[in-house]
Amino acid sequence: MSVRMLVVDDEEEIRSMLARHYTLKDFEVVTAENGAEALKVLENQHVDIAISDIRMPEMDGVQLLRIIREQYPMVRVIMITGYVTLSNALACMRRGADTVVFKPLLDLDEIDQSVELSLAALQRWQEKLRSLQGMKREGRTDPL
Amino acid sequence: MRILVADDDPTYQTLLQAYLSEWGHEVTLVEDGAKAWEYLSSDYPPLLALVDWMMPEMDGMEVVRRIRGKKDTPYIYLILLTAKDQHEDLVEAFSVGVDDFLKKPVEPEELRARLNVGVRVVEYELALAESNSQLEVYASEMEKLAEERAKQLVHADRMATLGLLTAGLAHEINNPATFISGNLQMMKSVWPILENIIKGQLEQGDAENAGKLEFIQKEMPGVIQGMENGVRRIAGITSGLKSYARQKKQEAHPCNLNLRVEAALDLCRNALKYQVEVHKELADELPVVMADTQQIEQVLVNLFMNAAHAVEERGGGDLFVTTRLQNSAVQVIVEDTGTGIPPEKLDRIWDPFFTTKPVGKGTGLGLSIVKGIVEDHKGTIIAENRKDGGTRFTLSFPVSGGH
Repeated sequence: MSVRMLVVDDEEEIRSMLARHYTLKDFEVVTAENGAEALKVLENQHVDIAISDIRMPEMDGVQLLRIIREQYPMVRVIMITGYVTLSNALACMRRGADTVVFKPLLDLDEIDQSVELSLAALQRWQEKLRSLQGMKREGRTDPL
Repeated sequence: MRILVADDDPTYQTLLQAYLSEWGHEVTLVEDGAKAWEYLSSDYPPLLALVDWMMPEMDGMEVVRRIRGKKDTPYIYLILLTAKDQHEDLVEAFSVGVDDFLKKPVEPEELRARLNVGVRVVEYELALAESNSQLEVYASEMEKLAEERAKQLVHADRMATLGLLTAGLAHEINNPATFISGNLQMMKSVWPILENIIKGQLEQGDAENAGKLEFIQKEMPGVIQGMENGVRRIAGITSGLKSYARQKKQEAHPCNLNLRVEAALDLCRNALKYQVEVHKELADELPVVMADTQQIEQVLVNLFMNAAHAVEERGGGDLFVTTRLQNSAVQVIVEDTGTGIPPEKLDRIWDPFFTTKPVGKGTGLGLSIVKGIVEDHKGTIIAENRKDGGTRFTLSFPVSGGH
């Protein structure tokens, strides 16, 4: 089963760069131009990992992150930003982002590692979920 | 007072010299107008002169006319000695520039009284000249101060504008740098696959394209490397710009600069360890200053790194770090025995983007960041070249008054 990734950035070139990079790594990648568009994607399809810029028109990354946390708690979020301010990064971490990676991405290894960590977290949850579902099924079949 | 007496009459010479000497004056005697002119037009002329009207060579009136026509000379008080029959021409004498006259035969008491007037006027003129020259000094000092202040204001204004500009600029450059670098890394990661295909193609003996394919195989790593270097440099510039356009001063805490020096030296240990010998002279019981510890460390790290580069260029040398209490300021003095700064460039080193390092080696932002931080802390920084080579930076921060 391939992992679906949502890339949100108002800069087209960054979207396609990341899309290419992760498609090559066998992710299924969808892109969105801003927070509002990203929410539309989330409404219509399942997303495992979202990579989002912070500064965007329409709806910025911090707002998007807040909504994802409320409505799609299973989605892992990685923020990327060109603005290296500690308060910015901390705000994202407090709101439940997995990581904040600073642009320029001179070495994609950093964001790759974040993606891997998010994937590992995702897998742990999915396993837990599967075992919970198994227990439910057992519970249901037991008295019969 | 030094007084010139010009008279061709030996009797008067003796008489005047006797009286004047008795009244405490220093007398210079000449017997004609030409000699009088010689004395009075010299660099340090006597400031009071008794000149006889009728003299051989050059008469008294001519001497007076010449002196009054001479520029850049201190004021000389001129008393004309006249015979009775010249009395009517005195109007002309005054219009030429005589200050006073004495009728011959000279009455000693009158001579004394008139001389005293002269002495008073000369002394007054001297005092005036002195206060004038003092005023001139003040004026030029004020002018200098005003000029400096204007320079500072222009500088500050430029800095503020640049601060706003750079924040936006850094972001604008950052995004393209991100996708260039990202795409480049993708290219780098797929290159081995392509290279294998090219190899296979060459092994199959694709004679037609062999030359081109070999060239591509050989050059591609260099192409990628070149682009990587470029992106790295761009990233260096934007990160410099971002710290240049840093946010406002964070909260200041009581800060012991000795500890900050130690911490900054620690951060620079790798850059310093091979070619730089570090000498510390840190004052005991240094008073604290109110400062942002991180920013102070950034200042010191910048200075230490510059010192390390300057010293390395010379193939090794020393770094001296001194802390001390000077008046009511805590000073940190950072000296190196490196290449120094060309004197004509000393006042430009604080300008953003000004660098003496080779292209691609420095962004030219380090010292302008340093100055910005120091000034945010109400401190000062002075750069100068050391007598025996290298550079000295003197940082002064006001001692924290109370809590």
